[in-house]
Amino acid sequence: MNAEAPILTVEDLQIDFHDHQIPETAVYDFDLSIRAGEIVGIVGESGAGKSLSALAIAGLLKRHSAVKQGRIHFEGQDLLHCERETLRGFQGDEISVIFQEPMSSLDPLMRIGPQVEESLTVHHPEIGSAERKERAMEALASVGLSDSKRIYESYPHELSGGMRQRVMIAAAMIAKPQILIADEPTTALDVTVQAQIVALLKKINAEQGTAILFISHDLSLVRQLCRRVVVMKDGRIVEEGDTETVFLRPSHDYTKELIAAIPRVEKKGTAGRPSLPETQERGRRPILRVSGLDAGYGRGRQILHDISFELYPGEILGLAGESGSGKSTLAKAVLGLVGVTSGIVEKHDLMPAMVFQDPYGSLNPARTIEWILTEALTKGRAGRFPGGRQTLRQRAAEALAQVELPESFLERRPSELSGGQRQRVAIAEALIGRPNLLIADEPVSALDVTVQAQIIALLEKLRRETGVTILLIAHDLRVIYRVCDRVLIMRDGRIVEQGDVERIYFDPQESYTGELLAAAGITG
Amino acid sequence: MRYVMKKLFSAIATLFLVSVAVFFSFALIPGDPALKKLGTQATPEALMRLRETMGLNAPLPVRYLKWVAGVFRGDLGTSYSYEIPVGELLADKLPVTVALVLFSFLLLIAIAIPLGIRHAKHEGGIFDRSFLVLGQIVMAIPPFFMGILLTWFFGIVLRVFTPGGYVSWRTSLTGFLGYLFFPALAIAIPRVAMTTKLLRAEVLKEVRRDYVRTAFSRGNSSMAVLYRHVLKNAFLPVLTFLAMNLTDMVAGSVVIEQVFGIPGFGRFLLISILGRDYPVVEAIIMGLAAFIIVINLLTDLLYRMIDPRIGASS
Amino acid sequence: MSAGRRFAIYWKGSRMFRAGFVIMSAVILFVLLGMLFTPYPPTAMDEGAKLSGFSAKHLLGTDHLGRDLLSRLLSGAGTTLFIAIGTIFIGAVTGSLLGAFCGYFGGTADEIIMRIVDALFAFPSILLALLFVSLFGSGRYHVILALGIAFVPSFARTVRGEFLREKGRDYVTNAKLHGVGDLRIMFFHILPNTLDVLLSAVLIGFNNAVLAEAGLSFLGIGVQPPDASLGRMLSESQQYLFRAPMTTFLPGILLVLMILGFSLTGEGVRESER
Repeated sequence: MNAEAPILTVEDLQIDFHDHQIPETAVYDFDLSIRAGEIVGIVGESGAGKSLSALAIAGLLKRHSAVKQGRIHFEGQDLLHCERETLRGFQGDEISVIFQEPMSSLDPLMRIGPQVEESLTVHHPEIGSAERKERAMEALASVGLSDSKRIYESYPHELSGGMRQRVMIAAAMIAKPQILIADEPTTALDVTVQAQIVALLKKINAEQGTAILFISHDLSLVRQLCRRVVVMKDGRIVEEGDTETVFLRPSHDYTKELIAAIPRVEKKGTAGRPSLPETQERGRRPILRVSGLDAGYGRGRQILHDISFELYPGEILGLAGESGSGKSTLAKAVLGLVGVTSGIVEKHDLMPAMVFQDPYGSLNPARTIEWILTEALTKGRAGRFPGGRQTLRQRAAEALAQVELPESFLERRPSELSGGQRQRVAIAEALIGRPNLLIADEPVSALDVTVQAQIIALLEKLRRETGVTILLIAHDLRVIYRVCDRVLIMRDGRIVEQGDVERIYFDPQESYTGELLAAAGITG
Repeated sequence: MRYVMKKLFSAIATLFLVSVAVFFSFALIPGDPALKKLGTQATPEALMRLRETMGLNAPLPVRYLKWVAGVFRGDLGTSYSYEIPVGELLADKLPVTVALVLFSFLLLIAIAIPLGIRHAKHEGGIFDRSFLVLGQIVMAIPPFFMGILLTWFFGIVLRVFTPGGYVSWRTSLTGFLGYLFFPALAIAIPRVAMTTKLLRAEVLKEVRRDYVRTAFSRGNSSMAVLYRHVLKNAFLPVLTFLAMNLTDMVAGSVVIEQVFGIPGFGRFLLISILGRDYPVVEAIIMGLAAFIIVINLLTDLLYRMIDPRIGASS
Repeated sequence: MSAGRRFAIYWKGSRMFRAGFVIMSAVILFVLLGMLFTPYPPTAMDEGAKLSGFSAKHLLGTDHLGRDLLSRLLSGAGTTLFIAIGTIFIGAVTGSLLGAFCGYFGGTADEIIMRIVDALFAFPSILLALLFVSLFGSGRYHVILALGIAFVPSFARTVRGEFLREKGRDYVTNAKLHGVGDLRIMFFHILPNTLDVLLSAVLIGFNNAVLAEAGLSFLGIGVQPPDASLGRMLSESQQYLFRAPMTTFLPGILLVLMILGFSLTGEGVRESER
């Protein structure tokens, strides 16, 4: 086959949404070609139309979204206008897909084995069950699941997230397709697992020559994996080209903005970092000192082990680690929401407040923003706030102004706000009682990259203006590098390493820290 | 195995609690059964003697233990009104109600499941929409009114069966089952509507799940996706619902037996309640409780067999 | 959220709600009319006109004792609705409080109470009501009490589930962090978020209460004669089905409309919640 001739071309694709009364166009003028053995990336923020386009190629659009026009050429057929049967013939056999949520993408009531074999069962009924099982075992082994016998007999809920995604890949690859469409396959996974899955995809591409269409919102991941990249915004392709060129010399403004939004990790030394008196004067008394802390949810569910650290006024301390490392539990232990078994938590005039990951969950959906803000002022520990309704409203408006939102937002409800606006309100709510410690638990991980950058900038500004101490919990090491003065690296409920961000990032003492940094593509 | 033992233990504990509650509430009801039997003219001596023979003078816990011991020996006590052992009285009625309930349960499954699947397949079509409306109306018809409507239409207008012409299974088994058809239908119809609606909703909910998209991505046809993946998942909640229906249908039989003049368990319960024949009421309630608890136990076990996730966590 | 705004959401969002609300309002109007006015006293017998059909004198005819059917429907629907309201009041208030406290605080008390509630819930409510009526005796207030108790478990379970779910959400954790008291969190923070579910539970509860009351009265252990109740009218007229089917159909249809109105409205609320 001519390596230069594309195996799949998409021309002029337009996708409409019929969710509401008026059809909305979600993707316009989408063109794409994939050559044999090539890895192409599609990047963009949520709502950019990247997943929709990929699903359209795979023939998997749901009923409420319909392709208005366009052509998808594959093996001499137009996938958009061919018989349903022809399309089915390609699905799973020549074109395979893996998805974002490996747990929900697997049938919960079916053992792994038959699910991995399914494409063979459908397309190659001539293969006997013994041979099918053998091929499934091989496929499981080739995605790095060495215990393939046990996994073959398991149910999805018995496996970890990373294993499930490997199973999905094994199932997608069993019929040796020409194209693998990977729709945000690593988004739901931890960073080290993410790196493993990316390495696996690279290996499959190299060994089997399968072309991969990789959809992601994570630009650095796309940069690691793809040679060619397509950038989408609001349903349109804004830029396309060789990955390195796009990254180093982006031509479209949006691409520039997107790349600028990724927190950069480059050695700044003391000069690059805003010098805070607090970080230099370590002699000052910490507002929080935790020593030898063991905590958890009662007997047998001990989560934290031997935690010791200090928190100084005015600093931003990062808390990094993968899911299950105990980051959030540590925050709860500091706030007294989790039972402490042993160890000491010394607080000095500590007035904590918290910002949560999912701003929709942390703002009472049944109430207006005004109610939420004044409730935080008048009820509970804050005590009776002096002044009438008008003063309260004014304070609430000031709090909104602090997070750069207009007073008119007071009448709104959380459901009427965007994700970024909600997180601003959540920050305003946390700060309205003038706390001296703000615990922010993954405050930006549910947000798009450009919004992330805005919220991070807001946190920095607030620290500058109010001098509030911030404990920032995040799994994203780039975010931590951008804002934090010091960082704690956690794993399995223990602190692996702690120290100044510069030192930890550029001279990690522990191998796990190095692994994390390498997996995030920061070093190595 | 531990799961089974745990469930079994909890079922027995519940049964014990129910028996205590039932026994003590009937023992503490105002009104002296001995007095009721002899009438207000009775002499205190006669009352004393009768109470002694009826075992009413012993302290309550002793009476409870005696009653429980009796139940294990198959002695359910003696009916106040008929003065015959309750067991004998019920032996005649039980098969009638069991037949009625099983009959309507089979009707329910035979109609509701194919109908629910058909509904989901044709979501939004004429069939689906008209049956949805019809289903809502049918669900609002109380079972006894449904029974009356069926009696009127099939008994009086069409004359397919004789209202009130109950045939005992001893006389003719086919006649018996033939007479039970319409009562069974009356119990089943509103439940068919509910089950169909639930199954339809569950199938439509499952169809939106990610694993369905995965199944399509492997080249399965819609039918294959439905029968290989979706139905199994959609049936889980329906299973619980059907089990709940089975117990509800037993209760519903009380009313339907009244409408159609069927001498079963339920009608007898009613007569006994009105006649304050407490040993009979107690026995029937305990029997129903045992039945309900066993059904729930079986459902839990069946559910676990189908769903590997149950009991896997923690 | 204001009641009007909530209503607008339901009205716009669900066809079922619109249909149910219209039927429900019509039935309630009919009952209100019956409280103010009936053509004849509901128990007055017209010896000359037993089982008469529709006529100018008796618009909807008479029953087997010559009582005016329209008057009996007007008053019977009132009785049924009155009992349903009483039942739901007892069941919803007791059940919701029980469910709210159990769901919010958890612990041993919750476990014990919910075990009892679950055991009760396993029993069909009509059977429970039958049991309670045989303990308390019949008559309208006893029926309300019996049915009210029988309806506690379903409300307790629903509300407990809601509180259990809501208390795990971050806005509750946040309120706790601010030091807001438990009662205030329960009733000012969580409760407004459960109103939709509670409303649909109440409406669907109404439908079940009407059904249960009619069932008990049909069996002759609910409302006692000569009071009219729809269930009672059905059982009394059943034996005249051959001669005068309308005396059975009219109360039956009214009963169906009443149940349909509540159930559709409830389903509509549940539907627009999603």
